[in-house]
Amino acid sequence: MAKDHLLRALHGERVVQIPWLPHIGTHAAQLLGVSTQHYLQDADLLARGAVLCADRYHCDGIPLLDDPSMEAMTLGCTAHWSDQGPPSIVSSPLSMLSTEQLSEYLPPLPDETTGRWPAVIAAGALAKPELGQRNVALVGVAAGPCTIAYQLRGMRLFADLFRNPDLASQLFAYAGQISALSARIYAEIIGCDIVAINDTPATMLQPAYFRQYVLPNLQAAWQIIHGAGKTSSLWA
Amino acid sequence: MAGSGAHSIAIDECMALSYVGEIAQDYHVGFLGNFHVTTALFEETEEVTADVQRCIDEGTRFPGYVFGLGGPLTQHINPSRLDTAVTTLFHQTRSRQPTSSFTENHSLDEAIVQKKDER
Repeated sequence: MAKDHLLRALHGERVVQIPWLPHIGTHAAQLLGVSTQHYLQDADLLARGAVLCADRYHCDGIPLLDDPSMEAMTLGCTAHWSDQGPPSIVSSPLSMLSTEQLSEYLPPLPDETTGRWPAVIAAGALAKPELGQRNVALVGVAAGPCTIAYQLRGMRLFADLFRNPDLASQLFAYAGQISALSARIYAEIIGCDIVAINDTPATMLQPAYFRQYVLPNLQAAWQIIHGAGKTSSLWA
Repeated sequence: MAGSGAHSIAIDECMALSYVGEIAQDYHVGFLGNFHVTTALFEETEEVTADVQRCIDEGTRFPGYVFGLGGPLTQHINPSRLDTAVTTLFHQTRSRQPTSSFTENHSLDEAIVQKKDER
């Protein structure tokens, strides 16, 4: 296990041995023999799962938590828990509002005391020294702006892009603030070596929309991650 | 993505890894992902070793390559298939082999199967 090789490769260097970093999802729950609902909300299980996966699969880096709905649930979205995978968002506070009402009803910005963050931070405190002993990088995975905007607004997000781009921009800017907040918690509070912004729904946007709505709203997260001396990654 | 300002990018299992490698090289960023999770781990219709070899062959043509999955593990898999992927990767690219905990892993697999049977 060689964290340094992984970090150097992620900075674009050619390294002697190919590093290995899994997009681990909820696989640790399977290895631990527990439900994902239990695993994703329990600090001890999250930490044990990260170490277990790192040991079993000889990873050079391992995500602490790989749940793209975590931030949305912190913002008041309702989730349906699954047996094997991460929860799905089934309703959100913004999904039924008119576009004009959006800016008025944006949820208050969360912080490290909100939602599942205390459990995630506690998990990081447990996992980081264990992984450090093994020379394995700890990876924080934050939801990206399009993921958060999509989970808050649902399919109406795509109509907003066409019909009311100014208000859609406000929603993406708000979502970018949430991504940056997550990046700050992972980089500065937990001390992850790598912070990834996972923004899979952004791949549904045409390139012009990606440039207009997503790229500007990633920059605050990159500044925080790089300012903390950590390595960044965009997962999509 | 490569020009977003991030140090690296991760891609899904649909992109051509060598194409992404060219772009990553141009932008001086690292790149990871692309292993066929759906067919090799979920559906078990593709040979694990063959797809690891594909990733190695295409990825190592460019600097900044990190072996990774083309998507998150969001359903139960046969863990021994991921063991095989790691063994193949290490056999091809590293002098040290991940054999130390295989006995433990097989015991763990048995425990997992037992738990599944109990449900």
